[in-house]
Amino acid sequence: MKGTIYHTDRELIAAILNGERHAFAAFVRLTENLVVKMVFQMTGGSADRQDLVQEIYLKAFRNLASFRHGSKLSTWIGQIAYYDCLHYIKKKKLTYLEDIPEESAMDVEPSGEVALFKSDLSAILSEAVARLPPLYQTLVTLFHEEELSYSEIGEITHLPEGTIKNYLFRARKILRNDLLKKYDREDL
Amino acid sequence: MNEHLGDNELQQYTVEPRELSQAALTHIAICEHCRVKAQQYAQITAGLKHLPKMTAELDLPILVLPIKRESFSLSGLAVGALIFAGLLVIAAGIAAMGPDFRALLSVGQGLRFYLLLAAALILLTAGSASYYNEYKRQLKKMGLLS
Ligand SMILES: [Zn+2]
Repeated sequence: MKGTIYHTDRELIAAILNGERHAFAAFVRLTENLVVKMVFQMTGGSADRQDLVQEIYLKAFRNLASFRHGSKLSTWIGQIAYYDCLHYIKKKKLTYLEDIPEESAMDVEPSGEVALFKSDLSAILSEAVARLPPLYQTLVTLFHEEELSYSEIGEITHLPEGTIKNYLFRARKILRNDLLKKYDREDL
Repeated sequence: MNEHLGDNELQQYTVEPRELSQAALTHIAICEHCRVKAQQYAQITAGLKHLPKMTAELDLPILVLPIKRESFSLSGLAVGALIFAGLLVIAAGIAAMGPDFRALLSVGQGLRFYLLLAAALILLTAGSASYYNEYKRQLKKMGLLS
């Protein structure tokens, strides 16, 4: 039935295993932003990204019966996606946490203007996020967009919570500096 | 006035205000410099929540296959394939070694051989057909096949 609401992950998984088409679609809808972004970010927009996403979902569906009902669906598929991305990165010898130029994380004083961005916030911010190191981008997606907790992000990435927090602090600082620089340029 | 707050504290003001000390909160309340910076971080944080979403382009029929694999009649297919492979080995042996290999097998194996071959072929055909039908049924159920 279209518009079926699955109240719990357990209900959704049972429906998928029962072959219900809408449950399948609901599962993809719920998790695609996380999976697709993670793959896009971690692999630097690789041409293989569509195949990777397909593989991740294939793996997820194959192992759906092994999903432990204590955890969250997004954390569970996030783990699969992160693992596959790391595997791909190693195979292709890519980097996901390259050195950040000193100046990006330098202190920038406020210009006195509260409003950083008057318009196009979404587009400008997207561009700035895309300039972050791959791992920072993924942490931003998991924390801010997917609203996962530090411990859930830790489950996915196997990074200590303190490290995740610090990377996020640095990421937001770089973003702010990046945006201020952009506005300075535009104001000229 | 005390020293200004660091970037981490100013970010925490939005992300996890409960982690901030009373002194830091008071500082932000009275310091214009830090308040502006904190508000810029608040804007970034709000913006990050609403970045454009990405969607997956999936090849659904391929994904459907493993979901209900437990309901597929694989046993007939597997048994048929096993017997068939065994008979192929025997047939290859006979072809390669002729009467010597045949002599290794017990008397009257000729009839048994053909009976087994027929049984294997029937199982293989039935297994394949049921596997294929189940796959098609799944696709239809999910609206991927009319
Ligand atoms: Zn201050």
